[in-house]
Amino acid sequence: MKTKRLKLKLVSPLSILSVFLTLFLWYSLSEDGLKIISAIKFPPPTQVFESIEFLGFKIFTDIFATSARVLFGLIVGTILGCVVGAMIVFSRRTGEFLNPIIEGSRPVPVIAMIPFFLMWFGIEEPGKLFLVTIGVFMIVVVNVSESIRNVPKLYIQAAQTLGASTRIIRKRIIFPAIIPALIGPLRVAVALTFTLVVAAEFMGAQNGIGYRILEARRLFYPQVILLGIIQLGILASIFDAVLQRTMGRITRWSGRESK
Amino acid sequence: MDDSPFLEFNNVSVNFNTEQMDVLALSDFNLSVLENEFICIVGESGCGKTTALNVAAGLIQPTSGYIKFKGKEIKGPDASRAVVFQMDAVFPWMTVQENIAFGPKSQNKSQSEVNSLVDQYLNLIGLQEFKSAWPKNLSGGMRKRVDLARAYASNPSMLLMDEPFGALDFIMKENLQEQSRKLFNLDKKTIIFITHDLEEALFLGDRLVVMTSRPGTIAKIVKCDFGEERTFALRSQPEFINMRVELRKFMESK
Ligand SMILES: Nc1ncnc2c1ncn2[C@@H]1O[C@H](COP(=O)(O)OP(=O)(O)O)[C@@H](O)[C@H]1O
Ligand SMILES: [Mg+2]
Repeated sequence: MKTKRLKLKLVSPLSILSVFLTLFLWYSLSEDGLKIISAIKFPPPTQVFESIEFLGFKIFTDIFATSARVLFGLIVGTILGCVVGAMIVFSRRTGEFLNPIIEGSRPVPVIAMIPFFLMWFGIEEPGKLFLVTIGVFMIVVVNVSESIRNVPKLYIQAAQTLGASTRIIRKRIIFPAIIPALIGPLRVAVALTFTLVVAAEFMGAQNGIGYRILEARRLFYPQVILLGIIQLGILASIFDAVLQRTMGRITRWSGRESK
Repeated sequence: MDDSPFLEFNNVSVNFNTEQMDVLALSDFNLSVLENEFICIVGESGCGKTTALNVAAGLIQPTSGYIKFKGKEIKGPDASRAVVFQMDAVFPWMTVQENIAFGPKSQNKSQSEVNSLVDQYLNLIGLQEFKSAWPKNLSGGMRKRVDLARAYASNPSMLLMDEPFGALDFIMKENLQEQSRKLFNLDKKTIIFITHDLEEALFLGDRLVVMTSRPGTIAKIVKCDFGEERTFALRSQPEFINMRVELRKFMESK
């Protein structure tokens, strides 16, 4: 058991190689190396590195602002999605009432609603939080109700014949049974929240990585733009890794390979 | 023990309407099970055994006729009739001991009561070392034993078992059969035991119900007077073999 854990933690040499190759390629093609690509089109590593110093403390406030928005959207959107998704299945009337609204608005790209949010909330925080929350909610609500419907009837019947009440069946049978099916959708939601948060920050904000990227475009600092992109890549990977680890722990019982 | 039936099927019919066709899975099914009886139902695959058991569990409502338990019509499933399903119904997200504890916990038993029941049945099925294991790490036979322990631990008035040993290898199966009968002899908790294995039915049951298919109904009910104690030796006794041969002929002629 122990050796297996250790092995899983180790990063494969091939992955390390690919990272190094990319960095090397970037370095050698840029103005730091062979000067094949101009710094204006694609800034060299040294410039990006310098921009960290240039931004200083703002880097942390940006990362914090963006992460907080992402986290808020993920948590609130997931909770609301689970509650409403469950209500849709457990109460036929709620389902009949909410389904047309949800099914009708689901195919609409949430980004299309940004102008409305700007009209309602200006560039204040609630508009951004509302946007990400809706994005996550739309993904979670459908997947929750779908996976509740897919819980094998056998388990529910077994619980009934063992004397379980409806409340116990929901808490101890249905809830754990749907979790593995939610891992994929939640990972999609993580990627989507980053897209939505950056889009919201583009539309107007006073901080955040998206705001910094847009500002850098205006002031013409391509190295800051690239730094922002790298920050987003790393941040999103961290969110995804934490999600996968947590879910892997919760679903140790399933046959699923955890990372 | 009085003679009024514990569980009574009265002219029960079950019709499944599907898009493709109507299936009369059960037709005029009449059976009275007495308290403290071990009843075995045998019949070929698809003759309606599972359907009959689901009606007894309250999981399927009869299309016509009625079913009574302790004189009251069955309206739905409850803890008085535990089911060991034909398919693997052990909860994969609970450990072995959490599975066994599920019934008593759901019935709001105290934690100490739950613990002692779990210990008792873990011992009985010989899986103490596996009490914290996930079901995915157990063999099919071990999972079936967990399933049985879970049903017993929920303290039902009767047990409904649907081919519980159907998928096991024969040594495991014969051992479990002997254990099941021993367990039954302890407190004589009423059992309906479904199987497609005639020998198993004869070995275990006090009475044996033979079903025929299309429509699923009872062809014959016979008493198996082989005493209470059933051991391996019973299988080679002439009366046992004769009865088996006779019933086999009867089932083939149907
Ligand atoms: N839910 C269902 N819908 C339609 N047909 C069913 C359903 N359940 C069982 N049947 C049909 O009813 C008949 C009896 O099934 P079943 O009781 O499972 O038989 P057995 O347990 O004896 O193998 C079969 O022909 C089967 O196809
Ligand atoms: Mg069956």
